[in-house]
Amino acid sequence: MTPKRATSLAAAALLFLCGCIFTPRDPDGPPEGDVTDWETPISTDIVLKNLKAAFEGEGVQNYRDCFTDSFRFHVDPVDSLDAGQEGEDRYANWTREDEEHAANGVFGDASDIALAFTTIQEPDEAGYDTYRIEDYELTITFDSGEADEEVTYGGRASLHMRRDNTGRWAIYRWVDRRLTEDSPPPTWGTLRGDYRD
Amino acid sequence: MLLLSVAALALVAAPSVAQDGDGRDSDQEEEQEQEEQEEQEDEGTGLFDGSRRGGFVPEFDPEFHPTYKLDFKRDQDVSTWTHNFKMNYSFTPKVAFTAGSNIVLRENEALNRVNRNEKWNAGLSLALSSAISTGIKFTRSDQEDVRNPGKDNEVRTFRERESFNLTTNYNKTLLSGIGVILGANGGFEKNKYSNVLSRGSSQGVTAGIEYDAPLGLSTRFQYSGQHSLLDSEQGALESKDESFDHSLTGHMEYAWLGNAFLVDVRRGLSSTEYPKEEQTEHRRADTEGLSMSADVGLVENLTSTFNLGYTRSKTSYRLEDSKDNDLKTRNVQASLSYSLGATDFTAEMSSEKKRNEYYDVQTGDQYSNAFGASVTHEFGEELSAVLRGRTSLLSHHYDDTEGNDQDRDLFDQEVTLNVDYDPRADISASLNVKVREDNLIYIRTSRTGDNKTSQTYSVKPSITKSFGDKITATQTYGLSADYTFYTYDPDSNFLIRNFSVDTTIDWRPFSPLRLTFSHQYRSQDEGSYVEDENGIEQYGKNSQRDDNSLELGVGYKLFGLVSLSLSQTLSMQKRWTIVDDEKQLSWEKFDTTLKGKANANYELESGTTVKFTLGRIYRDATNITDRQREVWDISLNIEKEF
Repeated sequence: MTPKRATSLAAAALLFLCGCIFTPRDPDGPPEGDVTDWETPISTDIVLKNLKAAFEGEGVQNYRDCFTDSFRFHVDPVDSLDAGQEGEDRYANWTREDEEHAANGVFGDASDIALAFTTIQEPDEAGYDTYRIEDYELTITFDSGEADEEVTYGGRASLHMRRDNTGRWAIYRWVDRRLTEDSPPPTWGTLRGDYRD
Repeated sequence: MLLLSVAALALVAAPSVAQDGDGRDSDQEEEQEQEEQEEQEDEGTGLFDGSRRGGFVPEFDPEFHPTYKLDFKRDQDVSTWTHNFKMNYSFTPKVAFTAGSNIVLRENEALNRVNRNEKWNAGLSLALSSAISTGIKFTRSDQEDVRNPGKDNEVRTFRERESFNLTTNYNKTLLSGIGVILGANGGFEKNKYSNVLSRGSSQGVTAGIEYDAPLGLSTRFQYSGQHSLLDSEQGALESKDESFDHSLTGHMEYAWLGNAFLVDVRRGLSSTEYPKEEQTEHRRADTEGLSMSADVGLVENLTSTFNLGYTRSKTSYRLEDSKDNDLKTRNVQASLSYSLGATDFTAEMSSEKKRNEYYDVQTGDQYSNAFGASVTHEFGEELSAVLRGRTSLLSHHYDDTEGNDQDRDLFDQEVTLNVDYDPRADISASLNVKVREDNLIYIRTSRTGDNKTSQTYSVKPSITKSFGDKITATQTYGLSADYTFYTYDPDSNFLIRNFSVDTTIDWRPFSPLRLTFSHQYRSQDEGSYVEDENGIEQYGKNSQRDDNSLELGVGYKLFGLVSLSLSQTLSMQKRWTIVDDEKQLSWEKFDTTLKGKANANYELESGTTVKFTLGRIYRDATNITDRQREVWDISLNIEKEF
């Protein structure tokens, strides 16, 4: 067999294989209820709106799309220290995949989710990189069998966002801090840590 | 000879970019992550890593090399002091002493918090012979966070860890090509957390053998085992926590006539006990992995690689059994590359199946397939082109379709074309064209409302022209359109359009002087893209934004030593909303910066080096604080050799 013929056969086999494994599934049908809550994130306000809608609506892909590929979450040092021996592993190198996995775990256990942001510092969206500071209150009703359990998480998040070449904003860094009150509620960071394997 | 380095005294009065305290904290955490990674790399990852020269005794260097670094940074909310000290000293070719410390103190005025991190280490190593080495090592790390320091409501949280280890290694390569490593270690450790205290002993053994046969065959096998027994206290809990970790790895490699075949296998088993909420948590982990690869060049100009991989990771917990998991991955990857004259062809394909067993609604399979190909052709010396294509499909399948409705496919396709054209020595041009489509397909009807297709089209031409050897001008244009089509909600279809022009001129009228001019223009508009009454999709622009940025710069090297630079930047942004085809100004912002800087690297005849940077920034912009208007940028680095 000549090299040209071998190459042609290999390329033909690859193309045939591609046709078999690159066919996406058909959806079951049109939506039963509401249509999409997702808005094209042309401002940081819309990123927060999408994040709230995705978390409350338990839409894991829309939630994931609020973050960039290089996303990193930085927990409050006290949350890491409070976790004792597990603390160092629990929060180290937190990526978008960890964020998606933790959100998916919460969605599996929650019967109701309510999220509210209060803006502490407005962003400057003139450039391609900005940050905004938000206080959040996240109330989750956990479906724990006979009686549901409601837990409220609160904290201050510095959300660093980046605008891509098409004008879409997404979060690339989340710095989580406890509130300064004497008995602050648990942060979203502790909730994330509970869902890291 | 004594080399004393007083290095990196950095004083930054405030950063040039507006940064809040929390943002600065995150930078520190990133730095810490990098430091920890570097420390792990320093430790080495296996028996055969850097231990060939006789255990862990460093190469003999009779000189004394202590280094000390002091760093201070300050922004509007956070001040950070960093002290770093390292010392390596070889008393004789067989005895060496090392010591180091790193102390970081960070104060956040806005949050009224102080954070302190300290790391200390000291070690003595001794080479008993060319094959046997032994040593002791002490490490201590303290981390403390204080909220509301000095006040009635002060809260302290901390983590303290200490360990002391004695290690002995035997490392010998025999003439027959067989290498043997044996090692043993034992020591004590103490861990103190805010509500947990544990102390006890740890022991470990390592063993490895490697063989390099003359016919291109080489093999390595190694085992390491670690055991610890700690007395732990947490509240009313007093427990004896026993932990172990076994790891076995093997590597085989065979090279034959330009072809290479590799096999790697690994197996790990660990059991860890530790206090959790006044009970003893027991974490068991079981891992295994196999990878085989072949790099084959059977036909002239055709190279190919094939990889097969398998991994399994199983973890279980006694208390938190909701975190139990069993993850399996199988993957295959193949690539081909072929050269024919001025044309290169490459193709790569990969397929992976993951089975994620979480014992809840997240349990399911994940399939990932990707194919990419590229063709590169050179049309003579002036023109070359690269055409690339890539497609990938990621499928999430969950077992419990009733309890979990997140089944979805992500199907992406992308084609890019790059053309470089250099018709003359003083002109070069390039063109980049990209077409991309991303599909999100939820399968269950409760989620299909989010199904959408995003299409991006972009063109980016660029040209560079030189005028003699003193002036170079570059201009780059960018044009893109980004459509979002919702499968079941076409009224939400959306379009973003971008246009940009970047111009740069660089002029060097004579040797030490350099002048630069750059201008950037960006225009973005967006709006709905829905069908009108005739069924034709129409663009309804509802907002627009224009950005202009101009920068002038001058650089001069004084006496060949000191680099001076001065630059002025002015940027303006405007945003409009479109109501009934009328533009209404939403906001208008400006930012102007004047930046002057001098820096130099100077070496005295005695060998002392001095590096400094002195900068001053004046800034005025919409919505900035007074602290951000005038900023110093100062750093000094002195290295003195005695």
